Amino acid sequence: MSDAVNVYDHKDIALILGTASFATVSCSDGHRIIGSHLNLDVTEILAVSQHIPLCLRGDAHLAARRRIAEIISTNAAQTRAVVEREIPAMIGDLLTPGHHDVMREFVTPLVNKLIGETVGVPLLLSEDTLVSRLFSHDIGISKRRRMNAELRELRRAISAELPHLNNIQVGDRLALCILGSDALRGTLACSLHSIFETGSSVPNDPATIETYSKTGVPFIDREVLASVEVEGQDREVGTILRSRLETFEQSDDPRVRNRFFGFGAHTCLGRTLALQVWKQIVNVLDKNSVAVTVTEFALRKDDSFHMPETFKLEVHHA
Amino acid sequence: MPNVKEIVVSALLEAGEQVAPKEALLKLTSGGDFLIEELGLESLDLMQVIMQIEEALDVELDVSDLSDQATLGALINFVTRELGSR
Repeated sequence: MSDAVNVYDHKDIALILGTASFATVSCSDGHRIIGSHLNLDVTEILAVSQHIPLCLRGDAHLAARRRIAEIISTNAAQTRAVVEREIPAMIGDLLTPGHHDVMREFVTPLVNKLIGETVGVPLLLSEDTLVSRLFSHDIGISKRRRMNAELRELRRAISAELPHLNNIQVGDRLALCILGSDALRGTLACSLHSIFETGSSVPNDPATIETYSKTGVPFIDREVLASVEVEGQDREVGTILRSRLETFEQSDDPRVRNRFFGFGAHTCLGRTLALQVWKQIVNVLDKNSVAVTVTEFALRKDDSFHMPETFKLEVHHA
Repeated sequence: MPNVKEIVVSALLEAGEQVAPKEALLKLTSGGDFLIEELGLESLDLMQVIMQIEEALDVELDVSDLSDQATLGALINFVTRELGSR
């Protein structure tokens, strides 16, 4: 359904994502048009879109980014405590001999705890939650209805837990749940898979010891605001350019891989936390050498994110 | 077991009646197999088809589920399999 032009060149991606000559692309237009055409309730989806910096332009983008950065920094000590306290215990459980569901036992509960601490509300999102699926243009009507209902429930839960917050503050926390949940879950799970598929729990690639080897966010779209040459082709105003972030996975340089997190004014606000999480995971894995066999792994087919639908392990004594 | 063929044909017919060429609509109602692209449905029409099939059969479909099925027969088989896998 997309007419976006894929961009793979690292310099062009830096130009597209790091400069103001390219504009963010709304994540709500498709939902609005479909909702209006089929008389579908997408009010929650449209409301929360106004809080997602990734989808906003100009002053609205800056303001939302500032507010969300403040929430993250205010709760940084609590999230750091989750990283230090929970990850060793959770990895220890995951690497006990036997069969394990990595998403259900480790990735989803850990991300729920981290995002929950960040927004100040205990989160119990399931593995198949639809709250982050705002960016999936491929999903049908039933899933859009469920997503709208899940977002409504989450908004109510945040308001009930933090009754002193106004609508903007609640919307910002909802946006954080959307942005944080699947991006981190996908990046974490796919990077863990790349370690475990070697048959060991210990990462041995120097770049992977430093940072994630895979990204859960394989691309970001931008609209051309002034005619430009990209990868040797002239691109007209209005063209949607799809920067393929997953091309950074091929680099052995951790600094290049960290471009997964974007550039300049659009750098991922969760970058610091995500890197703390990975560093702690690698530290703990390094001390828990066991043999592992990935028994099941498949990505979702209906998602814009790279997100495992199934990720199961068998752990043996090393 | 619901009549999947009847439901799928009805959804395509309703979405296509304003936009599809007459001969494509005739093929659709004649009972034989044909290429769904002959109906010339746009993305919003496909969403309407998805909604009708989902509501009639209580299944969840994605856009790619529809666009990956080139023919009416393939779409009917796909939806039947989805129903069977629940």
